Amino acid sequence: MVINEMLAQPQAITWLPWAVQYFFFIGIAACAALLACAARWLRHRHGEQCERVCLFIALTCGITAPLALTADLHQTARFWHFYAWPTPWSWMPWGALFLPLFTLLLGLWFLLFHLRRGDTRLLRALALATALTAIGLLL
Amino acid sequence: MDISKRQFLQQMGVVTAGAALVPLAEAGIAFGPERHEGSDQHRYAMLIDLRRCIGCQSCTVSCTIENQTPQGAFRTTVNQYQVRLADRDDVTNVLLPRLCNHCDNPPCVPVCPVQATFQRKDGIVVIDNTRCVGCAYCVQACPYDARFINHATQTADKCTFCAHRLEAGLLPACVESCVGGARIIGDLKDPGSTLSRMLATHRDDIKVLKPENNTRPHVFYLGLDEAFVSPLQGRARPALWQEVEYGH
Repeated sequence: MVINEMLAQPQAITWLPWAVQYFFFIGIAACAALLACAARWLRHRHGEQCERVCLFIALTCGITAPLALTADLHQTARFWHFYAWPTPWSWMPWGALFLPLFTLLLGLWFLLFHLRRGDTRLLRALALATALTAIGLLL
Repeated sequence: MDISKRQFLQQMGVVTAGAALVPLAEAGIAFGPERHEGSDQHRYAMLIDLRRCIGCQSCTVSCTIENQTPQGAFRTTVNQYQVRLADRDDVTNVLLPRLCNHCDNPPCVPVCPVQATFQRKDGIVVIDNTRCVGCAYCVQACPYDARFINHATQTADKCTFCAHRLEAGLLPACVESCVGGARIIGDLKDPGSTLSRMLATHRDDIKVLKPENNTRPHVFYLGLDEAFVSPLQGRARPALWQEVEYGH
């Protein structure tokens, strides 16, 4: 049987290149955060240097990624609806919780690291929490 | 019955934990999408009698006028195919009207991150476009390509069985304008409705699109060839679709 389509409407592309950018940047940010966490927990002579570089990469990409994602919403200004109507059975609202949390923890870790404030235990806890949110995002 | 103090305390613990969940259930906290609005006295569905469809696209046009979709975006269209059997020279036309299937297990509803899209108690799947964030998750989730982003409202859009017309006692625009009477809408909960009677009469010949997806579609087809039940990807020569230039 030979079937020729005479009239069939192709579906428009709805997830714009912004979504691809998000996946690119969040992938880098999450992996860099995991590496930085490993550098914080494993005692190595280059550990601090590795942590510094990874934190820088993670934070810059961790800020860019959510911006790209909000740009992919056709109604960008309604992003607050994610928090106004929590929907635990959909994956996307979980991302809307994990993403700001990840960037916030990362920013805090970055600040404390560079200001040389906070003891090692606090930084370690922060690193672990950030790594957990990074895993949440990667999942 | 002999019961030790330890067992008693254990069981009290279970009862207390269970009782703690009672107000949660009473507060109506849902762990999955719930149907609301509309009446559960009805279950609307559509039967498309392909023996009567002539591919005039009047349903496409009337829907566009009724629902004011932007140029180039359609809530319903009629796909047209030309079919030739391998050992024959003559060709025949196959027409396939497409619209939202108002599934009983709609994959588009649970993915919505803000519960903007929901199923009414009468089975109609609708979108609250004042809440929709336009993430297009539902557009991706629909296996029937029935949804699109309306660039006039920048939100998801789809067929609603013309719910506003049904509520006013009118037929959906596509049903009203169908010249061959191929589209039949009705209430499945009313055994006397034309829809229910036709579904019962032609029980063995009724088909739905992509039954393997377990979406339980409620747009039924009469006279649909088995070859068109599942996607034609890779089996059909693609169409020459010309987009009309429009700005959005």
